[in-house]
Amino acid sequence: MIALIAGLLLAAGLAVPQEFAGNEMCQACHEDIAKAFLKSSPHRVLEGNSCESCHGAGAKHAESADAKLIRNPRKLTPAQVDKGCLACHAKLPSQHGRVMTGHGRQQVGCTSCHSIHTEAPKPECGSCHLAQKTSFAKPHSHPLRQGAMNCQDCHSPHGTPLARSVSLAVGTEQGCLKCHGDKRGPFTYEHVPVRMEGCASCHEPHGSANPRMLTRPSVQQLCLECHSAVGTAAGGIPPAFHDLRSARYRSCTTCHVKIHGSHVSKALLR
Amino acid sequence: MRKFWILAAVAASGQDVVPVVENPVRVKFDTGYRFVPDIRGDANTYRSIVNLGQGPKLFASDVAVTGWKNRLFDRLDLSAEGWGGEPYTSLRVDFGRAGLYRVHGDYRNAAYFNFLPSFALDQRGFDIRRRMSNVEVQALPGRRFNPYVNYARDAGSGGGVTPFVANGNEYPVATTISDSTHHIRTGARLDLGKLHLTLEQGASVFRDGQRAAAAGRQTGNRATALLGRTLLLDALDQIYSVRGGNVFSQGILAAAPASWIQVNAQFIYARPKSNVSYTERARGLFYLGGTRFADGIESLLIAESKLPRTAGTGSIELRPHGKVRVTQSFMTDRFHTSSIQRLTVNYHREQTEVFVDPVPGVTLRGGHRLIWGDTKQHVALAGAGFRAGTRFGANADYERSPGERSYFRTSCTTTTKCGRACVDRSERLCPPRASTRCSTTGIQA
Repeated sequence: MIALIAGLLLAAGLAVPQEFAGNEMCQACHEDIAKAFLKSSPHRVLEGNSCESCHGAGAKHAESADAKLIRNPRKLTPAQVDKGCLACHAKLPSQHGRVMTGHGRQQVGCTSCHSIHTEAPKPECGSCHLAQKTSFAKPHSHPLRQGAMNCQDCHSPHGTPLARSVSLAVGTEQGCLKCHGDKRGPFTYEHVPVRMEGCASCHEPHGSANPRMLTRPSVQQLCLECHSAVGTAAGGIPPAFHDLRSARYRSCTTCHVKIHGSHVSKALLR
Repeated sequence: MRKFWILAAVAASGQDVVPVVENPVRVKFDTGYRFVPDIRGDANTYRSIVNLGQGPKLFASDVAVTGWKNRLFDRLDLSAEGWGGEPYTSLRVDFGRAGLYRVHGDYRNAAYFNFLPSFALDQRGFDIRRRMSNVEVQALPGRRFNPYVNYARDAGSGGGVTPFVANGNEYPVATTISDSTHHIRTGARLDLGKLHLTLEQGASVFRDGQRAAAAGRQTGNRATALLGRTLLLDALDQIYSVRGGNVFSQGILAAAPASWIQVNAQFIYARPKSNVSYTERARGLFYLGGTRFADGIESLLIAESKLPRTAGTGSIELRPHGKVRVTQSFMTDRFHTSSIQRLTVNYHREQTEVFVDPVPGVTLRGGHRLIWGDTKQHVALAGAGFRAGTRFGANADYERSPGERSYFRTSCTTTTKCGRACVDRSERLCPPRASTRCSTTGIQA
C-alpha cells in the first residue's frame, strides 16, 4: 500500500522533497551564465538557491550533469514559462492589465522579451511588430531610432486596460500627454475625438509619410472624414463659405489653430 | 565532458566551489567630434530634417557598479546619450542599496525644429525644446512594505510661427511657447504574500503660456479686397495664460489566493481642472460682419473647466487545468467636462475568454465582449495561435459584432475585423520575413 501511494505521489510529482544544489554548484559548470547574471540580471540580488527558484531543484542534475533532470524554460511552452515567472511577478502593479490586452493574452511568454540571466540583447519589439518598426523609418516619426524614446514610453507590454496596451501618463491621462503636456486640457471647448478616441484618431503615432504624422496627406482629407454630410459622419458640417476650391480653405488648421481644444473659441480658432 | 571534469575535480579536492568574482565597476564611453563642414542649401530644411551640429559629442556612455559593500549604494547603473548639443539628449540613473532604498531617475531633452511648408499644416513653424525629467525614490525597509515618492517634470519652451485668425483673414505671426507640468505622487506597496496592494495619491500643477505678437503691416492670406476694403494687421499682442492642476487617487490590488487563480483590480479617480485668461489687442483693419469694420480688436476672456473622471478595471484569471485558461475582465470609464460645453462619457466593457492548448504550440481562444454605456455592443471573439520553438509564431484573430449606430470614426459599432500576423524571428539564418494584416470596418446607421 505504501509503495502504491509513493508511486502515485511520484507520478504526480508531489510531496517528494527535491534537493537543491545551491548557486555555487551551478556556477561551477555554468560560469558564463553566472558572470552575466551577476553583472546585469535584476535577479542578482537573490541569494542561496536563486538559480533553482526558476529552474527547479537541481541536485540530481548537478550530480549527473543530465540536462533532462533540470527545468529548462527554453523548452517550455509560453504558458508554462509564464506560470513560473508570475508566481512572483503577477502581483506587481505593472501586471494588472495582463489579461485584457497585450502579450499575456496572446500567449507570448515572458522569456520572449526578457533576458533572465544573460546580458545578450533580446529581440527588440520590432522583431515581432514589423509594421510598427517599419513605420519609424517614415519621414515623420517619433524619435525612437534616435534613442530619444523607446516603445515602453507609450506602451506597457504587459498589458493595460486600454487598446494596444497604451499606457497611462498620470492619473487617467493618456500616455501621449507625458510629453505633449500642452495638449492636456481640460478645455472649455473640447475637440471631442481627441478626448474620446485619443490622439491616434488623427495621428499615426509610430510614424507617417505625412507631416505631423497625420493619417492623411492633407488636413482637409482628414477633417472631412467626420465634418461632412456623407454617411453618418459625426462632426459638424463646415459653413458654406468654406470653398474647398480655394487654396485658403484646404488647410483647415490654418484657421482652426487650436485643433486639439480651445479655451476661448468654440470653433477652435484661438 | 567539461562538466564531468569540473565535477570530478570538485569532488576530489573536497573543497567548496569558489564563487565567480566579477569586477564591480564597468565603464564604457563613446565620444567623438562631429564635423559639419559645408551645408549647402537651406539651413531651415537641414535643421528640420537632420539638425545635427558640429562639435565634441558624448554619443553614449554606460557606467555599471555592482557588489559594492559598506557604501552608500551597492549597485549603480548610469547611462547617457547624445550630449554636446545633440537634438536628443538623455540621462538615466538607477542606484540603490539592497534592503534599504532604490532611486531611479531619467532626464530627456528633445529639440523639435520644423520650418518646412507642407500641405498638412501650412504657415506653422517650431523651434522648441522639450525637457522631461523623472525621479522615483523607493524605500525598501522590508519585503512587506515599500513606500515611494515620484516627481516628474515636463516642460517645453521656444518660438515659432503661427497664424493669427481674424474674421475673413489670417496672418502668420511670431509666437513664443512656454509650458511646464510638475507631477508628484506618493504611495506605498503592501505585499502580504498572496495579496499585494498599492495605494497612491498624486497631484500635478500645469502652466501654459503662449504669446503671439506682430509689428508691421501685413495683408494676410486674403488676396482680394472685402467689400472694397483691404483687411490689414498692423500690430498684435495675444497672450494665452493657462493654469491648471490635477489631484488623483489610485489603488491597485493583486491577489493569488491559490495557484490556479489570479485576481487584479485597479481604481483611479482624477479631477483635473484648468483656469485660463486670454487677452488680445490687435490694430489694423478687421471685418466684423455685415458691412461693419473696425480698426482695432480688444478681447479679455477668462474660462474655467473641470474634468472629473472615474476609471476602474478588474480581471480574474482561472487555470482549472494545465491546458485551459479562463479570463474575465471588466472596465469602466466615466467622465464629463464641466465648462460652457458639457461632454459626458460612460463606457463599460466586460470580456470573457477561454484559452485552450490542445497540443504543445497551439492555442485556441474564443469569447465574448460586451460594451455598454453610451452605446451597447456584443462582440464575438475567436482566435488561434501557433508557435514552433522560440523563433516562429503565427496568430489569427476574428471579431464579429452586429451594430447599432456609429460612434466615432475610429470606433464604429459595426465591425468585422480580422487580423493575421506571421512573424519569423530567426536572426541567424535571415530567412524572408513576413507580416500581413487585414482590417475592414463598416459603418451602419
